[in-house]
Amino acid sequence: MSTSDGYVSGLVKVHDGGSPADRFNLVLVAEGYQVGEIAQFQSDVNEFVTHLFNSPPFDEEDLACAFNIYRLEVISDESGADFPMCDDGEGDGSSVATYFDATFCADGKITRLMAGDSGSVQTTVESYLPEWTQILVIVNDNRYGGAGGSVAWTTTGGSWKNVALHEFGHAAFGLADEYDYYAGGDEEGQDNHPGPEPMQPNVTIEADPALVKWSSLVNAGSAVPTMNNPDCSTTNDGPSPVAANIVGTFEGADYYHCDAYRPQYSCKMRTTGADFCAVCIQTIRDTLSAYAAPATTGAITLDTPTVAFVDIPEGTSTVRPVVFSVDTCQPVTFEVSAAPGAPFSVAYEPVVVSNPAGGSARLARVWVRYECTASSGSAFDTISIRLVETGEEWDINLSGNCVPRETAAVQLVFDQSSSMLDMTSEGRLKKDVLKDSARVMADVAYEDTGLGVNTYDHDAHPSMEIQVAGPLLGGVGRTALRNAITNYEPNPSGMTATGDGIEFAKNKLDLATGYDNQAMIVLTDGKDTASKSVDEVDDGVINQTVFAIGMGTAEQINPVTLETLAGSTGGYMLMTGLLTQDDSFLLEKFYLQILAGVTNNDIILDPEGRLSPAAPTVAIPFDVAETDIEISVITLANLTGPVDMALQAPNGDIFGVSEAAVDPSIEYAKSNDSILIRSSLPLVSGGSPQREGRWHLLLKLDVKMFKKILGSIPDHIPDNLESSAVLQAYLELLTDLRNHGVKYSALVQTYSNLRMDVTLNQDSHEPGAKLLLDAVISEYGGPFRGSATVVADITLPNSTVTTVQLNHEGDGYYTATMIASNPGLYSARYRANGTTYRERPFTREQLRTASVWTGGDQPPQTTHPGGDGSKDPGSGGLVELLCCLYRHKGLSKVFFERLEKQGIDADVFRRCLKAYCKAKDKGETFRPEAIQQLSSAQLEVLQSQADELINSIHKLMS
Amino acid sequence: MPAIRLTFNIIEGKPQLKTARRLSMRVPPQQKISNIGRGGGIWVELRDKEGIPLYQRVIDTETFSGAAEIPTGAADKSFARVSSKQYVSLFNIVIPDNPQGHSFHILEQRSADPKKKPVELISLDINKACPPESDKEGEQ
Repeated sequence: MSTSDGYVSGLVKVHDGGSPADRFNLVLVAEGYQVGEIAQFQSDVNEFVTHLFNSPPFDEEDLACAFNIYRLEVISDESGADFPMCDDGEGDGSSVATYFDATFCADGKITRLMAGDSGSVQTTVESYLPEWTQILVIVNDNRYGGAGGSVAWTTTGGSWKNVALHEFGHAAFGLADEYDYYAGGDEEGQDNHPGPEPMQPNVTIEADPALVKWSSLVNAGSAVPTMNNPDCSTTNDGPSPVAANIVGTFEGADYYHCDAYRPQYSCKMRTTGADFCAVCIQTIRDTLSAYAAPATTGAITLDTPTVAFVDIPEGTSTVRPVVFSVDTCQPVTFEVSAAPGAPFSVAYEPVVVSNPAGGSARLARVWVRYECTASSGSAFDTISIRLVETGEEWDINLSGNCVPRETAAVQLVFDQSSSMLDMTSEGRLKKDVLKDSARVMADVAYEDTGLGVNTYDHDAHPSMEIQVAGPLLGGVGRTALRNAITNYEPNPSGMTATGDGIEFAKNKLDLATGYDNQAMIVLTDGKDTASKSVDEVDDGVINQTVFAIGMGTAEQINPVTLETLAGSTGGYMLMTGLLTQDDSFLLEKFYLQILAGVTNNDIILDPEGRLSPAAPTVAIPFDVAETDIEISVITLANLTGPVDMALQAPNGDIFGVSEAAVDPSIEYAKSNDSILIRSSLPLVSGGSPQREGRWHLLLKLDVKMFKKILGSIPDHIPDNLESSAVLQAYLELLTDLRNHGVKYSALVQTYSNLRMDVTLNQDSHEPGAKLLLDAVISEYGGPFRGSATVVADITLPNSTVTTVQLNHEGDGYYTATMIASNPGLYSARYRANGTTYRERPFTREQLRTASVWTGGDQPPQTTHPGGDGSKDPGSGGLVELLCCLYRHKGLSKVFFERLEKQGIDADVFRRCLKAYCKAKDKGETFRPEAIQQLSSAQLEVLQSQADELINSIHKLMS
Repeated sequence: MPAIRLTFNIIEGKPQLKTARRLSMRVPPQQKISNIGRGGGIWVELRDKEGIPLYQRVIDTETFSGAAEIPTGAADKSFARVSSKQYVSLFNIVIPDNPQGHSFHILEQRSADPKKKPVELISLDINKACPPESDKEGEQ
């Protein structure tokens, strides 16, 4: 029954207000907890801490910061406390082996006097924390007991947490008992207080509230005292004559029935169930203020003696913080005592206040802005910052340099295999979907963006050399891109060799010098059927960022290798799934999102809707934050002619086509597919700069023009419409416009210092795969210090939408997982909604897709000749083997008989194999003329049959 | 800030110095009690060589009463005081480590009569009770 009956596990800080040299250090010590019960101790500590910080005045943030709270985990050999036979008749004589020898009946007389070896407790605590201020020993026993003092004891029985706070009131704050008895009843000698005036702040012998030492807090009426005791031979347990919150003089305190007064009817220094009275609260505040105040030295540390603005893009302004570590929980205010000159400036006023928030040292920031213009060059200066509370002052060196804004070259890589001639389930030919969507790249690319195109089928083909886009109207690169798209035609006999297309694009980009970023966007609709396939592209060869768009389902495309390649270069792949009428802008949005990322833009939001004669206008709100540098709004529409677009600033000013005509900082362009407004921020109208706040995108349908256009469309079938499918799509568009109006999809994006990057990874491509959703928000190139929620709206394969909340793991990193149970496409729309460090609202959006399908984790089947023989022979290696066997007459009668049993005509097989091997020997591609006559649909059937054939031969060979 | 922690055993209501230790930590502020030395109660005092108080703080009277406070478990009369001379409790006080500090006192005023001097429960030469670090080094 001593310190030999256990051991000390360690000291754990559970509430951190700062350095122990500066704070009120409360240590909660375990006694009578066995090793298997230490979790219970931790729980008891947590309960007490929660109770403390919910009890006025400790619930005040300033005061909570004055504390450090620790738990000393002490393991005892046995549980509880001794319960000896006591003079008061209680006790059972039991004894347990505990570290500090806690016992009820600590004086041999009174059971509820429960304590142990306080000296040993103090010595033990001091060995870990010499700066302790108050110790509370928590004894693992639910019988009621305890004792006061700077080493106080309590069991976990009854309302122990309130008892502990009462003892706290004595030991830490010098408060007197406010109860009006001594030993518990009507004992003699406690009738009238003998005087003199008690020194403690919360009891008095002065009856008059106006003269009492807490008179400044009195709000009682004229009664003197506020409540008296008519019978001084006993306690007055009657109700209060005034409201509970009234401060005055209430007779009965300091152990006496009469002639002693307390400030309020109830107080924790009187009964356990009450809160502290107003006078006690004031006393506690006064005492703790000494512990909450900033440290006289070392409280404030300058973390950034220099602030560097490195390689800031021209035409932008950015802010960086001067950072201080503040080791105090009381608010401190920094002010700029000497401001820097241009191009530096102080970003925000008032400069900064570090709010108390609990925990360890907090960071305070003074923000400096650097305006980067073409003439800024390099700049150096100093800013002086003073702490108002202490007068301390710091000089911080500033430096900055500007660089031209990053440029990008983008190579579009189009699949021109025969299947691009197929019809989508949306009603357009795939080639037309490609053309309609890719044109938007020409519409919205920055003037200095390089644009190029190549196509591929079983080989790569040049289409357009990389050229600078040029002005929005008539730019050479834009015009060339539009022409390349117009001239794009699939090859009716073309197979798919995506690897060839990628390598060709890589070579073109390698030659395009002078661009800071290079990327390619590969659009494909099917699996590789010829060499080079994606998996034949050597690892590490592609040094540009690869983005990919899969037009179709995962089963049709098998996106694994392309997805992997894109991910390895910092890009990603998006899949459309089966295109429907609702997806008319989907590919355009894919292109726009990718282009936004390549040019360092972030998407604020992308709403969709309709404009009709019945509802010709719409105002779509969106938020612009102080972090945003430039804004671009792109509206896609199935009929742009009668649609007008403008932006409404927070002050109501309008920026549209008229303003763009006279303000060169605003770009406005309209094509058959899209309308664009782009401008750096702030936008200025009437001398009033507009940036932060709630903006509106205004769309308006010119009803007159709309009706005129619809009326001018002939009812007969135009002669130049050759295809019934195209005709059908044309008629459907007309019907849609007449019945529902113009369909639009807007995209609001910003070049900003607040960015959101997202990833959607998956641990498998089979149903049951785990999807890993991550989002990272950054602000001014550093960790996000604002507040945001991030969710992902996931459209499931059955078209229902479920929303997943991403958990904030700190520093702007958000994450979540979900299981993709069913085969199909999972389309995740990430949405961030929050406020910046300067508490300005913002939103961000991003789209990613994932696919799972049965067999998704099987290696991709290469259905083209020329597979890598060093690996699994695959179909290419197999055909080589068959050719070899055919040439050397190694295919026996039995082989052909077994082929027949598999349903394959042996004669046809012989002829085909002969033709193939002959072509192969000549170094030609196997292209029977008959195949060239086939439609893409027939080719697809043939391809499917060929796959079956290969599988059959595989079975035979194995 | 420099401070001294003094630990006393309270035996039958009387303090006996147990340990004294110099530390770097904050001390509780002096209380704004106008009647220190005149009203009834107990307080601690750090004085300079001339006997002038440098630091004063009122402490709980019952600490030295030879009684202990126990929880009763009742809602209305939640606490009780019990006389318990056998119970040995500890009293800790942290005072400023003031270079001018010379003596430490625990004082009790029992009378309202200002002519009656307070009772001195204990008086210590602070530098003897807790030799400065420089003295300790000199001894080595």
